[in-house]
Amino acid sequence: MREYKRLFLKIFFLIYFVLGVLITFYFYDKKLYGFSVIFSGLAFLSFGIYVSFIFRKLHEQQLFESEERFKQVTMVSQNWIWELDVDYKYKYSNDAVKNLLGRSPSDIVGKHFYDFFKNGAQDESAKAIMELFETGLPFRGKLTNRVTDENIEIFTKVAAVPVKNRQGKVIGFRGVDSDVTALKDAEAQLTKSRDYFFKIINTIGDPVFVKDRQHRWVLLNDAHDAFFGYPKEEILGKSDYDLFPKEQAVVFWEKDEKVFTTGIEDVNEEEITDSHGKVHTIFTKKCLYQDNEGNKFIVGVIRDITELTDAQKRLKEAMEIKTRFTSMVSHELRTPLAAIKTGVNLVYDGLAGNVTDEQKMFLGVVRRNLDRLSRLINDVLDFQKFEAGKMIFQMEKHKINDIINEVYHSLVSLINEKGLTLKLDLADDLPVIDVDHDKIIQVLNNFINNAIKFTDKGSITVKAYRKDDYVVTDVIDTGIGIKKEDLNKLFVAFEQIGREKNPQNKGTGLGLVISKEIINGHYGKIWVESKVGEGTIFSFALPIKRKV
Amino acid sequence: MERRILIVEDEEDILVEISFILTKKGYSVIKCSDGEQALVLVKQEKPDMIILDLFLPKMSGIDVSRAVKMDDELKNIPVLILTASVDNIAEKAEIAMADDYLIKPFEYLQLLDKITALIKE
Repeated sequence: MREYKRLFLKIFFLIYFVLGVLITFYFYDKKLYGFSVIFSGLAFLSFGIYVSFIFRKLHEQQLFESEERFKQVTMVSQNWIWELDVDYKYKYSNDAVKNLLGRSPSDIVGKHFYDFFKNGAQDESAKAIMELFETGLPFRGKLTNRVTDENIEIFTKVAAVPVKNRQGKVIGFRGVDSDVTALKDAEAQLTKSRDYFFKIINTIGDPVFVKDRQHRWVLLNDAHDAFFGYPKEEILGKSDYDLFPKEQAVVFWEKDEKVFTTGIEDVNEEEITDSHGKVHTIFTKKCLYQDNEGNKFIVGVIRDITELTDAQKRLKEAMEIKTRFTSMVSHELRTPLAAIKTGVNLVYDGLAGNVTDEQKMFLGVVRRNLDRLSRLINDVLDFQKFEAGKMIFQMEKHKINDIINEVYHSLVSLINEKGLTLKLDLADDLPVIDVDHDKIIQVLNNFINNAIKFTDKGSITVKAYRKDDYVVTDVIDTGIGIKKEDLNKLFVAFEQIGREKNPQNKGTGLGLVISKEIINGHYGKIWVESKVGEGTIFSFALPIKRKV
Repeated sequence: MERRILIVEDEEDILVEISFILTKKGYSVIKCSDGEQALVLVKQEKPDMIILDLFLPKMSGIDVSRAVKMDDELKNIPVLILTASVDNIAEKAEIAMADDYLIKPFEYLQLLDKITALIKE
């Protein structure tokens, strides 16, 4: 409507101008100059009004655009745009305040600036902004903690410019609040995870360090401080050369450099001197860490193994002393034993003159106990040898049947003496295998002697056969058998089951343990099956193909 | 002809026992209880066989045996090592270049068997 009115007026004044000009010329023609001057004045006036209409239109258009722009910007803005009057009461607020404070613009307008702070007029951040307002200057980026309608604290950054009247007096402020709560949360989260990280590395009891590509310490934990006796602040930014004697530093530097260049983790034992001059043996593990930007770091963990190393040294010494002691004792026992044995045998066999039956009986007792003592010494020595890892295997190609026959001949008379029969059941297609001849004989002797010991009647059978990639040897007896609960004690050192009265048969509890070690040394298997009252089968299996 | 055997043993009791047995079995025995003297006696007497302990005063059994075996004139004399030391005995016997070994305590019948076998060779 307004547009039409304006258009009508525009046309009216245009017509008026044209008419005025025509009337002017008309009166000029009629020589009525007075009228002519009046009408020319009116025509110019009309023209002036007409022109002013056109300019006003242009100006209005600009104003409209600027208003529109402002409206649209404030509408789409996620930030809260507001205006305060001279009394710091809200004059205007955009819709974004809904998202920010959960209030509508109409709730805001008319309220005081302080009304939207947690602690109202006492709020520190409100006071700080108020101070900025008082200066009458524009400001920006000031952090505040405002509250929503649900009393939830949020963080915004405020920017504002003063509104001035024509006299330059500040009559209010226009400003923007942008929500930085998410940012603030992220920052809090970061602080939290940073605290978490430091708490963890400071809880680790072993020194932890991080070095940058220039070999400078960039991170250290509390244990590192405690261990080296230097506070972090003194070491951070320094390198090995600042802390250790040159000859040590060179070594450390080279090792670190290798980790940097190869990326291969470095594990080693080093000796270092702490701030008190004490030498420690440390075990260090260093790994390469590369961050998102490609910067390389070494992350290292140190373990002080000084005490452990000392303990190990002492243990090693003790073990060596034990080995030497056992070896010495057994050697020193063998010599007198040899003298006794030979002497007794000479007399027993009548080489030193006639012996009565009674004398012979007691000499027999001496002989049996000498044998027992010899076995004991041998077993203890063998046990000590494999325990010290000194059992040496001399592997040669043999047929198991030959070895069994050898043992058969040495034991058959003893077995027959006890009224038992010794049977052989040997497969004749068995391959030649790598064995330590003497040690396999020892195992067979041990198996068969055990069988003799615990078998009163019946037979002992030695069976050899092939099963898969193994040659298996069974020693089967018809003896008293072994209780199930005792089976697993058999291969344990110094465990003895079933006491034997006859000293000649008494063992050391080491026989089967040694047998197991011997078979293990052949990469074989050893096992036992038994039924009480029916008998026992001791078996070992030796691999056909030599294993590495 | 009576075979002569040199026994080198620093344990007096064992020396007595072995010489008793060997004498009984018809061997002639030369007794000796240290390494250096043993070597002198080997050169001087040229026995048919040597029974040698390993741990000896002055010169070890291994050195005595090697000296004998390195000597062209003596190398054919059989050497039997008799020792209470069981650690790596086979290896030690090989280093000593000995012909055989026997571990103490031993069965004297076994000793006699080994002597018979070595002298025959």
